[in-house]
Amino acid sequence: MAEETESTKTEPLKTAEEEFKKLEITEEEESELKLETSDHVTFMVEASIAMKFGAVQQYLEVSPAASASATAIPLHNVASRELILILEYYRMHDWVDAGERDLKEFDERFLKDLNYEELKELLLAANYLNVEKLFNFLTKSIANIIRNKDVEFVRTFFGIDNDYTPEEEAAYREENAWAGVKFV
Amino acid sequence: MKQWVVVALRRNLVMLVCDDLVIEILSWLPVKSLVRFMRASKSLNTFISDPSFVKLHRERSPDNGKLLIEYFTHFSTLFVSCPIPSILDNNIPSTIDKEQRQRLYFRSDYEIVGSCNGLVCLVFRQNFFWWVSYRASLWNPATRKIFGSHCWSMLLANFQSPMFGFGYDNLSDTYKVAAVLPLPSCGDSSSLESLVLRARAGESCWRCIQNFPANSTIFDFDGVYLRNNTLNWLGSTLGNSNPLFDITFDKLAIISLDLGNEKYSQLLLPRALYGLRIADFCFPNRPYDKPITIGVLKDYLSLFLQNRMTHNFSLWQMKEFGDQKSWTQLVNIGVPDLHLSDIWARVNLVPFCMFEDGHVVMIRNQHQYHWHAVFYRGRLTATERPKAAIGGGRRPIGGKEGEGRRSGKRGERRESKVKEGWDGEKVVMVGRRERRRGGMKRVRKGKEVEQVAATIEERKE
Repeated sequence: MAEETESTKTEPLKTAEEEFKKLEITEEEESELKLETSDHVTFMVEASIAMKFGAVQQYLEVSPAASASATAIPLHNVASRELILILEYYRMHDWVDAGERDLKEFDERFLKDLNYEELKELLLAANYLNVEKLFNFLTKSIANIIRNKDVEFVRTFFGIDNDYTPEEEAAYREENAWAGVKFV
Repeated sequence: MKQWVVVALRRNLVMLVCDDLVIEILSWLPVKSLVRFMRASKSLNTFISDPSFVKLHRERSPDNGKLLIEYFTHFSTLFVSCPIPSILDNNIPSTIDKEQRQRLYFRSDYEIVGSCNGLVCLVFRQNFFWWVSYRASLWNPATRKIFGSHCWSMLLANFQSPMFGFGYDNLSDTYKVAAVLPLPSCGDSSSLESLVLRARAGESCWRCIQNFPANSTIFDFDGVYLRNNTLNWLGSTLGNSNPLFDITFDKLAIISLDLGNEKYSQLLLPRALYGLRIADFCFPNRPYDKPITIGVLKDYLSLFLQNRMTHNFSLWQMKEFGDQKSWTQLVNIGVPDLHLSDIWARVNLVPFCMFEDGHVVMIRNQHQYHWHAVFYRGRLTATERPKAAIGGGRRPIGGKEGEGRRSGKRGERRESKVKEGWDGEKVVMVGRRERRRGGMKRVRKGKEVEQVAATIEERKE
């Protein structure tokens, strides 16, 4: 079951992927690195962007031969759709002509297209890849989302189990009434 | 098959958006949301109360510089936090503002040791016949939570009252509380026993370190924490036997404890002070008004002196830590020149922040409910006496705007200075604890606070 959903999910992506690669090929001034995602899609990424990924840097430190683009650098915890998003984000933020307003608009659109699950997966990918800018951006945006939500929402959002007894919870609520009972 | 494993793994990961990632996300939230989410689970609660999270959160929150003011009512203590810019305008919040104030009820007596990175170190004191137990705790005024452990207490004979110090050790990434016991360690009269506690969850208790290399009982104040990882006290290098009034400044030194390796070192006082008698700096019959104090201004160790004979207030700063030649006199003013309306001779000035252009703000605390900010606007050079005078304003707590010495225009200028000059330092300063004195009438609950304000009004008149 899970296998099916995953394969249907990746197929349209793969076509998008090919288009993406074609675009890549047109600008060939820069050296490129080969990245392989967890669902076995290989990406050719400009070295300038790929080197911003902490995970890639680390890999290249351990085995410098991989930069000769013959072997793909495996990214075990990143699926292709997340990598596409991450690359999209970094392309935009690296673009010299992008003004502050453009970036802000882009960021808003970028967030709008994602649902909570995707956001979390993207955060995990960003964490694995060790990309600081995107990671901070994502954590900040998630914080903004949950900021005014109630406890129940946070529990389901992070998958936290409630281990308080009802009495303890009531006591806690009373003690911290100043922090906003109206959300409870 | 392979794909399926990957998917399963990924689902697991999503469930595991815990610990580090959650902490990262939560660190961007305002305090109110955090306190609400602490209820989500016990583990989240411990994460949020952890001092290391407090530090991270503090670095990321835009708000900086708050003063914590302590008010005493009949049964409890009220704490009101107040942003420093509003202190500079003498706009100290009243205790009537219900949203802001925090009430603390402690069964035992407590003492505020110091504050660092937004955490306040409290020491609770409890008497058991001939013994007194001292228990250290960290209090976070923002979340109103107390963090502590039962191992953090020590039992001493009741004639010993230790000096404490609280700081953050950058090397080991922990908060440390230091205690210096007032009795000389056996045989050697010029050194005192000292202990250190690593304030960390699950961490052990107080442990002995190198002896405190001076006698400090005459000054008896809590250690001053500097960003260079040291805690500093003032002490005399003579033995215990010499009475305070006989010694001169060359027998004094600043004793500094390196929180990293827990070793003491001595810093000498400015050479210009050598030969002066300490007795000139004390009120003969008010020993608790400490005339010689040290503090931190703009991350430099500073020495504040108030001469009772010449009525001069002077401020020295050690520009290079550990170098005696780097002491510079920044302020030297006659207290009467400040035109303070009270009997200036009995006034205690406590400098508490300093701007890039050398302007100093001092707080004067006359008695229990009376606060004042005094702005020093003179040119601060070593020799020159200030030409420009002081702008002082007063506003008793809960009262209306008092007789400010500044015009509206000046007030505006000051506003901009606060923004430019504030060097980004985030400090929570704790109001110096005053002695409890009478004068409060017993009042019904709920009316208490208004009563405080009324009392102040009365006192003013």
